[in-house]
Amino acid sequence: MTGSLAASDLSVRYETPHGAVHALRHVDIEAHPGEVIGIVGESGCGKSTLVTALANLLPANARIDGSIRYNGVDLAKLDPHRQRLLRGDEIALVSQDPMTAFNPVLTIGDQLVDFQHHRKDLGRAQKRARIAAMLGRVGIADAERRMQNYPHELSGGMRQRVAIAAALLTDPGLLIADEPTTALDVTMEAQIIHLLRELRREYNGIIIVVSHHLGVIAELCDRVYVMYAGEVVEGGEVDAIFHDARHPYTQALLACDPARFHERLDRLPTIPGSLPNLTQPPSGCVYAPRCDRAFAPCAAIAPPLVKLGSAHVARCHAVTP
Amino acid sequence: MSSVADASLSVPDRQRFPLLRALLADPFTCVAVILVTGFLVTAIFAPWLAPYSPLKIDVLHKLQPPSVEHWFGTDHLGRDLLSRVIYGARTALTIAMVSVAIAGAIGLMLGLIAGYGPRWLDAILVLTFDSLNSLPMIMFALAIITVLGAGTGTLIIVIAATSFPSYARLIRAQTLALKNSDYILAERLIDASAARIIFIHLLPNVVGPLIILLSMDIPVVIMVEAGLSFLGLGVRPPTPSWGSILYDGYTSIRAAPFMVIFGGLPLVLATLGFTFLGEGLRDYLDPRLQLRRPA
Amino acid sequence: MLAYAVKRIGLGLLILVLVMIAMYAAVFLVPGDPATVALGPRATPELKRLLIERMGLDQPVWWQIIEFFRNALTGNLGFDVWSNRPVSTLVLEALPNTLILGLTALTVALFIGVPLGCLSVMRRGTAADAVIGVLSVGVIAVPSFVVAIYSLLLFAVTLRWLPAIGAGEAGDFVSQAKALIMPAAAIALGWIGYIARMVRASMMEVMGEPHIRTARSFGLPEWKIVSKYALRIAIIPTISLVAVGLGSILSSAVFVEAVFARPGIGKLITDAVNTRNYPVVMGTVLIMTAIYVSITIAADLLIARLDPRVRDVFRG
Repeated sequence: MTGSLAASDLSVRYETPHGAVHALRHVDIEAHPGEVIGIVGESGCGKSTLVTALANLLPANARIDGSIRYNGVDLAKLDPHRQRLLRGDEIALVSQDPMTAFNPVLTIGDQLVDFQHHRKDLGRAQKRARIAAMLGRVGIADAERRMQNYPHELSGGMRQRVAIAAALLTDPGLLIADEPTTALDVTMEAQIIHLLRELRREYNGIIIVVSHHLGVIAELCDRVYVMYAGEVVEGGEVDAIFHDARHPYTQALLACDPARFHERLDRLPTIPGSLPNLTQPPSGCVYAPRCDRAFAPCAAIAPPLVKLGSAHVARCHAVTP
Repeated sequence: MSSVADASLSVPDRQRFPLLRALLADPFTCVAVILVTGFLVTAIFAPWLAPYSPLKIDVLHKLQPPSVEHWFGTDHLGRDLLSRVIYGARTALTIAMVSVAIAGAIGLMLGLIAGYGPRWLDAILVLTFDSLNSLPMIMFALAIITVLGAGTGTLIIVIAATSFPSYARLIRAQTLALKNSDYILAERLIDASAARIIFIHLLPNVVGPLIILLSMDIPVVIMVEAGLSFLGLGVRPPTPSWGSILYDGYTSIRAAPFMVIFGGLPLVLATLGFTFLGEGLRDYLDPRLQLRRPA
Repeated sequence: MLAYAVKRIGLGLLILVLVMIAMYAAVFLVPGDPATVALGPRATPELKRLLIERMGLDQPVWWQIIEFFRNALTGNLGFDVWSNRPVSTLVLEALPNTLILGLTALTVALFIGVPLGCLSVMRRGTAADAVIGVLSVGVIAVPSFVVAIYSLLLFAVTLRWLPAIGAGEAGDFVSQAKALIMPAAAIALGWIGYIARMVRASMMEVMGEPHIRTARSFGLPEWKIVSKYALRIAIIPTISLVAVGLGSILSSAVFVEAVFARPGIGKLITDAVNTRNYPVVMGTVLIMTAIYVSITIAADLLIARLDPRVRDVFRG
């Protein structure tokens, strides 16, 4: 079953002994079946929190404001039991690091059978058959033997494929890939991207790809949201963002991407400054301290989300349609 | 010259005794510190604290319940129980400190040699340590006692012999870790003798964790001493020992139940105190250190 | 797996042999000879000669050691100096009682300690967790023979609910069970605390690991995550510690048997020590060490079975 996802005015804060950390602030995201949405930003921008919120895996000290509507139901307001029922059934997560994603003392087959636990209609043999088929589908040869292996007997690239297979086995309406290629080397990265592109053709749910790697986003996604320090600063179609970025942060990010440089440089460009302290979010624009185009209103007034054309939005005072 | 000396003498203005403050902060550890201090004070000042001599027999007044003259009552030979308990603390502490010190010294030496010496020697020593550790401690202790006969001296030897392997292994691990560090290699380059390297450079640096382990073992030794004395295989009577007091109480349990209660109480309090203190110390220093096993 | 097992057993046997040689050699530390010491003041030259001959002490040392091992392999561990009954018989008579005591204590401790540890983890931070934590530390501190004596005072002498001494009537299961309660509880109490703490610490570590998050992200119920995904890993260090601690359980059994006057290895060996009965002491130590080494090996093999990463350690 597939449906649309819409996070509205989503804010998440963690209550810690040192004060509240406002990890996400007033985030608006939307996604429709068949789309591949990218979430890009540097470490600490809140993408992990967003992923965790969507998958209902937030820790006990997290407080949610706003809503996450999936298929008409507000995930944020659901009781824990119902949240658990959705996980592994409607919502599937491909975790960040394939090296640590699986339980080391159980075989791959054993774990993937367990992960299909929502399918009460299937017997154990049937579940194993599905696993073998799916492993073949993601490009793992000799699937039957692999199912008897323990995770440490597989390479990183293979484990990532298994993770993707596990997620697909649940037939989810919402598939979230958290940094799918970050822990892999370049060759494996290319293979995984290729695999994901193939799979999306037959997959008709929502795919969300989270990465700090611009290239991955560019290759896989239809639409992108750029995040900075817990806020969405720009969003739009991939072409629009990459060729016509309007928010100063997005522009700086693209300018710093080493893949863009065709000539050798003495020093790689960086964005000066550092991330703000999220326990005390500023009242104005969160990027203002590092922005080269900041002017009078930026530090004091929170910038509005400006619509710049079909699906293209940017949160900035300096931007006009 | 003088400015350097002055600089090193001026301590920056921060809280003194951080360890003590940490220990006193948690209520359980605070109580533990009180109990342990009480134990140490009792043991050290026994002659001044005990109202009577622990050896004074007065059979006419045997097995009397607690009263004003005898706060803990009297035992089956009419001896004042309170005085015996006070001196028992002294026995416990003495034996604990001596045997732990000896075991520590042996463990230190063997560990250093195993870690720093030739591989074949290390292999032999490690095999020795593992063999000793694979014996159930009580069996080993009883075997030695059979050979040497029961008594305080034997007790110390037994405790030292069963404890030193774990110390030796700790020191060995530390030594191995430090063996290849830069300053040791530097010493070897200038042809310093092995003895010099071991004593002047390695020893001070491996001793730290050992001291911690030794102090955490003191309550264990107190329990072992009490246990063996209870079986009649520890200190010889009439030397007061918490274990033998418990045994006397045990044999008179129907006639004089108070003996067991008051005789066992200091042992329980002392071991509880040391255990919680050890917990507090461990939490302060390194929360990953292991808790010791039950007895 | 097989290679690991073979290596492990080989090492165990080697250790056993070394221990026995060392023990035998220690006998010669005694001033005078064992026969004189055993006999004490009644040592007339006649008796001494007889005893020396009987104990084989007139032969050269190396002969004695080899004889001992030769006999041991055929099950002959010498004879009790006084009653002339074979040591192996004495040990085999006493062993079941001690084993029952030890195993009962261990089972009780595991069945109560592991769930308590899991409960602590599932309710971490709450009052229940704190209470379990403090009690755990507390019971570890008190030596088992002290617990034994106090429970004897309370339940046997004062309340008269349970028998004070003995192991119950032969053939009468109920009386045997009643006699087992206090001794087993005395030994188990400290272990419950220890196991609960170990399990809690171990589980806390495992529950924080990424693969648990994976299991959660697939919506697995918490009880399954705790029991199948976390506990299986967390239990490994606990098993290792328990195996090593079996020697400790044995020590406790010796004392507890003394308190409750239960027949068993404890009584056997303490009596032997008091009467300087070398063959009995040696034989008992050999058998107990062999049992202990076997248990340690079994625990290691069990760990290798549960955690496939361990098996590869020996391959490198």
